[in-house]
Amino acid sequence: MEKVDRLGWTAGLSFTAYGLSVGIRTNDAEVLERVLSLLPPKWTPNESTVVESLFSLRVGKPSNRPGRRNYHLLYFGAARLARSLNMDEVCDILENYLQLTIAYWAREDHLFVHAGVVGWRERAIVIPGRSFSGKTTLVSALIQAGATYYSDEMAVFDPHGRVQPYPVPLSVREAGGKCRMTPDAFGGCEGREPLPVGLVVVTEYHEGARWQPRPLTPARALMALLDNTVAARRDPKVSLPILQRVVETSSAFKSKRGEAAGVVASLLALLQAVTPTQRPHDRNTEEQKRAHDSKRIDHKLS
Amino acid sequence: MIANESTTSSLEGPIQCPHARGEVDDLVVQEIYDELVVYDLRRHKVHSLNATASLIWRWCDGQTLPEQVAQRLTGQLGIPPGSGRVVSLARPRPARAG
Repeated sequence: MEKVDRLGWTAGLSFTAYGLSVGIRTNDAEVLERVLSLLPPKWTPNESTVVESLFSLRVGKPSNRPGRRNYHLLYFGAARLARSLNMDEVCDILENYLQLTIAYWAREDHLFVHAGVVGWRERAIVIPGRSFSGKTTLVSALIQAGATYYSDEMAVFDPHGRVQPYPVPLSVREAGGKCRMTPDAFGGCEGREPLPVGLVVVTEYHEGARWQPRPLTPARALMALLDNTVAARRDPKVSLPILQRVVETSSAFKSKRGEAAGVVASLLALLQAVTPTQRPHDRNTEEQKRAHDSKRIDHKLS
Repeated sequence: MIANESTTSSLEGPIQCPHARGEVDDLVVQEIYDELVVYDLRRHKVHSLNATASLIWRWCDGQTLPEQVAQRLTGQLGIPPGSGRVVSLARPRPARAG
């Protein structure tokens, strides 16, 4: 760590998010403005210069010596996370690590699960899944259908099992790379209040796949959420009861899916059919019957 | 006597699950309606037990014989007599998932 300390830091910022204090120091004060845009939702400035997690971002200045290139360097504590000539790449890595560090070390009243989340009529649809599973596409399609945006990255559960807004800009992948978009680009808005979960949807995009939602038992739904929980191993005695509250008040389904547009109406109908007081595995809704019947029809939903 | 002879050798004597062996400190057991999710803190493995497996898990107390477990299953879930195979499938290793 002493080696990193000696690199010469001239500016920095300190903040707290979800109970964790984080510092970011740099050798170039101008880069801090960009760093601010990478911070997670609900961060608040921190007066203290002593933090629990410290990132160090060294900006590689242009060199006067021919053939010599100064790399941008990013450290977390003493560990080097990135060495690149491309500042966009370094900022992406910083943003990812900030998010994961906070998700892992968040205080007990917040449990972070990799998931897309939208709100619909006072209840949330949670779509657990890793990167590249198609969360953002499905979330943006749901927003276009009138849902409220909560997150395309993380479901943040409180101790009551309600999901809180974590409104980072949607990270839409395009041919030219990632593009950040706010929900109003899809005609929607951000949710403000915590919501009880109505529907857990375990799904992944597969080209040409048919949408055939099968109900999951609450225990299986909990397993799917736990599989995507950032701090699953850190303290299961805390995370399991929170996830239990989530699955006991919601219904869960699993299916591969094709294009998001072909799934949205079905998801909203499934959510509408959920009555919070019903035992999830006792349900036999019209939508489930339709889903069952659709297995017999050999067609692809576009 | 257990109906399925191929499993009799492993089903003689009372059945013990980790909770009966005093290993409860290493487990987080979450009850969700009639199912269980069991988290093994030592190995960081999670198991999901359906309703039948959950009942068998609870009866694996080191006192109850497999035949008695089978009888209780018949009584509680209507599983036909001779459900030794069900007991044997659930007993040694709960279905692992995730």
